[in-house]
Amino acid sequence: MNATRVLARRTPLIHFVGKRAIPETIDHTPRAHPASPSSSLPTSFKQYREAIANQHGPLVSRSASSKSYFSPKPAPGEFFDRSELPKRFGRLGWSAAEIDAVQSGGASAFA
Amino acid sequence: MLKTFQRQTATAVLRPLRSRIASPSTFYIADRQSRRAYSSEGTEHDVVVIGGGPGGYVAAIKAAQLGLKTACVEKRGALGGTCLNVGCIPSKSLLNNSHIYHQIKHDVKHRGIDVEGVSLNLEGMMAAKDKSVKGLTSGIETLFKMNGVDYVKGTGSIANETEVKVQPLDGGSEISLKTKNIIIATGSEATPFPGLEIDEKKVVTSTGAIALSEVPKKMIVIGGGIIGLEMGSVWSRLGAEVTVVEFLEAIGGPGMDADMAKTMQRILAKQGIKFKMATKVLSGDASGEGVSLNIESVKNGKTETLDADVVLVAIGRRPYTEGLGLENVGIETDERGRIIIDQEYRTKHSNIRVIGDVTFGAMLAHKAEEEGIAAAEFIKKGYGHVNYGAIPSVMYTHPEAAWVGQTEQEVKKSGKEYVVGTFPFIANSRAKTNLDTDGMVKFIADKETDRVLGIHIVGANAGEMIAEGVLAIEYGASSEDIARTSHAHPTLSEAFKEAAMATYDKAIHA
Repeated sequence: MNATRVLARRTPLIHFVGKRAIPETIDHTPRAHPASPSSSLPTSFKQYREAIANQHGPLVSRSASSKSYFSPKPAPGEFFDRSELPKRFGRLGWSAAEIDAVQSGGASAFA
Repeated sequence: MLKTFQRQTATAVLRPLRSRIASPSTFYIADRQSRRAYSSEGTEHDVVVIGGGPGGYVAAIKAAQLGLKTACVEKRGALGGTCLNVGCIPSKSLLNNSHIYHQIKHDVKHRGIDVEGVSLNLEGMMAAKDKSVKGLTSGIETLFKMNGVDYVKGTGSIANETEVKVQPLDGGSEISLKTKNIIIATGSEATPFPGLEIDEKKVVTSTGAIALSEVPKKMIVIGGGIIGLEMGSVWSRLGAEVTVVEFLEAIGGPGMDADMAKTMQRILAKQGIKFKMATKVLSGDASGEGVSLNIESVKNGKTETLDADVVLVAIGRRPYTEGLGLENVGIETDERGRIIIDQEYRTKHSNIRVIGDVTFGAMLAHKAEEEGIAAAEFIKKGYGHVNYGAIPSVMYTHPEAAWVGQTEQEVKKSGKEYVVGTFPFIANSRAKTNLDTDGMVKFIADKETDRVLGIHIVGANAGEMIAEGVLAIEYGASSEDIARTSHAHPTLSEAFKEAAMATYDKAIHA
């Protein structure tokens, strides 16, 4: 009984912290990988993203200034042409099977 | 930028429905206005993983489980990468079976078991290894099918940031995989030794060392790290005279605690492995029937020539990026060839991520697996998790060595005050009944908070036991937390508990 009382006073360092959840705010600004020996990123990362790559997702913390600076939305009354978008949003090439399908009115798909 | 944009009149076009990579076979009519992507939409993937090793195949499965249309490109012709095909798995088969052979031949007589006529059937041992490998690699293919991952057999190369070109293994025409995201998981290869040409017969890497057709009389292992000691153990047990030549003064590589490295070296030496520590290999000659190596002591400059039938080059591994097309997208590597990434595994192209041996961190299959899951989660959810402070390392010799967290040398260097607790297996009841008492458990904990900083084990089953240590480090446990947790009797894990007791107070049985 004495031992139980002694143990009852002890607070384990391990404790249940609840179900894991994705943090509400995540800073996606590129930083050095935790296992990187140099603990730094080449300047090319920042340069690339600031210059051309902000279409790939959230790259910077969502402060008001960065949001307006990096916003991919066109100004009111203006529109992007597809040719201005990054390649990933561009038209993909037709495959031979698709061309055959168009030319044969779909018949080649069932040949 | 255009001031106006005239949307085209809707027209019906054909597009593939759930088409496969090479030849879409089913089409349906789609309204042009409603479709957001274009002619080959059905062939575009959300994720293409290059490399089907432990990092790559796990990333592919996880991505598919998260609902992403995923393909995995693998050039080996079998999934599982180095680990399953020529690394962890086949070496463990040989380690396990050579241990059984050695025990039957030399150990069971001390246990009241008389056995006669024991002989080695190396061909049979290799067949058992191959069976394990085949079973596991084909199992991954099944997992791919179950999870809907497209398995593309061929050599993948990044053409641009949204396209991977694949040269099929069967010699067919090149396949183009359009994708929103690319995960590079191309792994690593053995670092060659300058001046010694690898022929995988006389001068071998780990790949050749798991496939020797006969037991060499003499074997030299260049490099006293995990791979060298594991393969040295295998061939030593099977009858080879093994000499390990190591440039550093301790075995096990930089991650192994100095006390444990000393303990391990002493045990392996007792098993018959010879060590040439702090010794440099100057040159080698494999032109004759065997191989001769000129070595030099780092301490006193004394030179010597060693002869062997087989030399195992195990001086480390290097990232494998050959033919990957990094130059096509300007992806950078560091001075050791590792692809540079940020904290979310992104290269400078944020849709191209890199995991496993080909980038930073320990070259361990389980580390790559963790990264594979995290990378897929970053793509889908924007959040993933890998704790690099809680990645275990295991050396599967006998006894095994396993560790997690910091070494005593690292803690000392950090300037943090710490306490150490140890417990030898000679004082553990189960180890004694097993007649297998080599080794010990060592804890390092913060002196002020008692938080566990590192756990190091040398002993039978250390590789399994370290899992408890990894959990403790992940949770931020104190040594007292572990010491006050009941461990079954009689088990080897009681040594783990007692070492924790010795760290915050005193062990009972030592």
